[in-house]
Amino acid sequence: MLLQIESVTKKFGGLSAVSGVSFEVEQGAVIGLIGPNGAGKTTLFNCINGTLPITEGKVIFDGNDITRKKSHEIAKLGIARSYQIVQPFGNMTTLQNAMVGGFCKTTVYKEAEAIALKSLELVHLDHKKDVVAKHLNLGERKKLEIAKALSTQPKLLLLDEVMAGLTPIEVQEMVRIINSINASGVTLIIIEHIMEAIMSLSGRIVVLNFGKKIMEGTPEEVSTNQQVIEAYFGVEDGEQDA
Amino acid sequence: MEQILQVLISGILSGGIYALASVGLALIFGVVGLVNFAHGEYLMLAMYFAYWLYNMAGMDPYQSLLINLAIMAVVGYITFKVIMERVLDSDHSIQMLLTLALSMVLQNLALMLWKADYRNIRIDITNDTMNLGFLTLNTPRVLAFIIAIGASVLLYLYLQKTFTGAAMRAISQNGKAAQLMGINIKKTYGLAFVIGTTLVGLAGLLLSPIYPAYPTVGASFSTLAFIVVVLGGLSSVPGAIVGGLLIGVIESFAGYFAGAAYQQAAYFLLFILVLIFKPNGLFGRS
Amino acid sequence: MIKKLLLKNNSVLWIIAIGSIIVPFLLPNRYFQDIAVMTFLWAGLAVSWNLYSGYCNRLSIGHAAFLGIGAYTSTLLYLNFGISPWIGMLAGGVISAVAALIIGGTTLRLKGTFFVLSTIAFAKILEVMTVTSKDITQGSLGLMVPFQPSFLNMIWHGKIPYAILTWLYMLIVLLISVRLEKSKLGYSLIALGENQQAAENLGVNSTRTMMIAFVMSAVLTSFGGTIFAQYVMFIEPTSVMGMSNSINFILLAIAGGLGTAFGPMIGSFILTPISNLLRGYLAGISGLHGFILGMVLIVILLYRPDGILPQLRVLARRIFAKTDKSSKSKGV
Repeated sequence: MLLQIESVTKKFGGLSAVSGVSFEVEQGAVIGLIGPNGAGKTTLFNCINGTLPITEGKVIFDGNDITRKKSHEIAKLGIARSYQIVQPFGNMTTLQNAMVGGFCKTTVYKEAEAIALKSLELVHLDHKKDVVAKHLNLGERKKLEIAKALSTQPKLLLLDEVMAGLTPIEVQEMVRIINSINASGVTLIIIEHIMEAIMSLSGRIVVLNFGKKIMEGTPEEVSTNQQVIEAYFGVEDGEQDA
Repeated sequence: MEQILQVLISGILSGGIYALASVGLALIFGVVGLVNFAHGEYLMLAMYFAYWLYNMAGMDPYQSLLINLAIMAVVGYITFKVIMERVLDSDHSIQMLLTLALSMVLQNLALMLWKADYRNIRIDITNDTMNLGFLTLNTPRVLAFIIAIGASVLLYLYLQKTFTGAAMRAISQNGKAAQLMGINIKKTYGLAFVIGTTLVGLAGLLLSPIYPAYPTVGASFSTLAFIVVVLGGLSSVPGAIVGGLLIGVIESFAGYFAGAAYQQAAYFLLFILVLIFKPNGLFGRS
Repeated sequence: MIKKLLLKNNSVLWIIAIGSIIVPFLLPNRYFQDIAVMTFLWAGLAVSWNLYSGYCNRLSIGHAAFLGIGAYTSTLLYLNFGISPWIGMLAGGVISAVAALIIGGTTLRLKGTFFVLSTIAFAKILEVMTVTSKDITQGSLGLMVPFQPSFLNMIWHGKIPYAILTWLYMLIVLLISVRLEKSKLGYSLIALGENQQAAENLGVNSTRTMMIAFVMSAVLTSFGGTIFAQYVMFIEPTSVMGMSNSINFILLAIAGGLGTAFGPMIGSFILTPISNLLRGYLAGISGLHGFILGMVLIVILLYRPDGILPQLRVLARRIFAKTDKSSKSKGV
């Protein structure tokens, strides 16, 4: 097992954003993480990669207990993530952005540059390498977000809604990109609201609702599960508001 | 014992002025989000205006108080319109540097207009004392204390009881939400800035019968106000009042026990300790 | 080819930096040579300041404290024990490094405003300590460095040796800054200046990165402090450690271009001579000089917060774009 999440709970004040979630991720897998807004998906990502301290539970990655590790240490061990709200280093060029990640495992400039270029190629952004990041459009920023994470040469990549706000054509391209990332040997956990995309990408899907895991299974199992349908349709209106 | 009490009271009296000089800074920081390094310069300007009016029109600082406050409000408004309004959305470092530059400009302007000499306003009341039991208190200092605390409390009540005050508190807590509630953010920013500069101006006016005006007089009060405000939790007005009194007392005792040179060292040390251990202020929750 | 050099590399800027040593030799008298020395020295100091604050966008408004440590350490060692300022400079560097570790350890984790305020507080404390330790530092009276010219004493007749020394100082600091820009440390520093959380997620150890850069910046500033003391030959707490020096570092860096290796140098090349000449010519009206500098800073901040260097680059690009067009049209 590459990643073991063992009854992870995250409380803010008295409220549990994530409570007692457990699942395992196999090397090479693509796991979909779905659930209505506010289900705790992003919080779970934050717990896995050390952005937020975990209240209870354990995260084991590649044989290491990373529960109490800091995010830069976790990045070095091989977990990278992208943010739903993209976080480019606005005044650096696309290549320089990716190189920050490229320096994660080397101190040699040329090597970091080569790694960064490779990730930019993988997300089809190499032609924009000298463009200052704040001048990129949303689709390109989403790609850059992934390229930065990829440049740290992760074993596990956490993608948080990389397709939100993209055009249907861009979504198709993103699906191809994610597939090629997986083909290059990177394990993935994907948060996504676009059901078609996540159903076609993921081997297994974990469903969260109100911070709890309500089921886990293949895309077919999930899409026919009564509880999941209720969770989704039951809060459909709330989701629109948020 | 009597002497200790005298030192304590003297500290509290100074503390009142420090509080008044600081509440405006806390207000501007809380509402506008500006770290105003030029804050003390308004105190300096007010002192010089008082000196001018005294010299040219023969009005003592108490007589010219209202005129002076009006002038300070105008000066604050002009600064806000000409400079601050343009950088409300800029990077924090740009804002801080801008207020630093402004303080440099105002200090040097004062140097050009009034030279580096100390300007004193000597009026009858300057050396008046009043006796309270065994305590001997300097009348203008007592007067300054009463007006200063009064004005600070008035500001607090204004924030608590009026609609605009509530708007300011709302912006201070959550700017975006306040905007959604229909509060005119820019106007409120401007108002907070003007109130802030006028209040620190008032502190200058109250000081003018007992303290000389010189171009860098504001700078020392700026630093002091920053320390007070950090102690009080940055954007908290009541915190700044308590912080001001506290600094006054600490300074007074440090001066009494260790000598004047160590006064500054004492409160800077306290300041750093607070920054490290209680960055939300002495009374703030972490 | 020339175009590539101008736009891509720092070649032209290096040529300006290295070539500038000709200037003091061409200047007619000591007055103008003094301005050249000050220009180099302030360029070096501003580049040093920029090494931390410019790249990671965290203002240190107390950096003059390190200038003071450098100046006082070497001067005290020289006056009391006859130790050469060259060694004193290294000693000052070591003390500054230790001070930076202590200050950095307590303040670097502070966010935004708190960090800025704490740097001011530390500089103030040091200034007050220097004023009050009269037995050692002579307090506000200041310390006089006796005029005993020799290489070992870092004291010379005439201004030219100082010009060479300060020029070398500037070049070394520049070289470090340029190297930094091409290194993991530099990338990490700039990234965490833009977005600390995002940088950490890419494996940037922000505490360590900031600490290294802060110490480097402090030590290089301290070296400049020793040179300052040996050149001016009189140091006094406020004029060395006071906030106006810290503000001047910032003014030069931001005028030239914050977070670029050559920006602070360009800032000093333009502003230090102007400032010194103004001070000379406007000596009759005290305050006018500072007033003008403050106004310059305000105008830059309001209208060109990126500084002059990016403007020069844009200008160069435009000029070449024009020549490109004209040569193409000729070809047709």
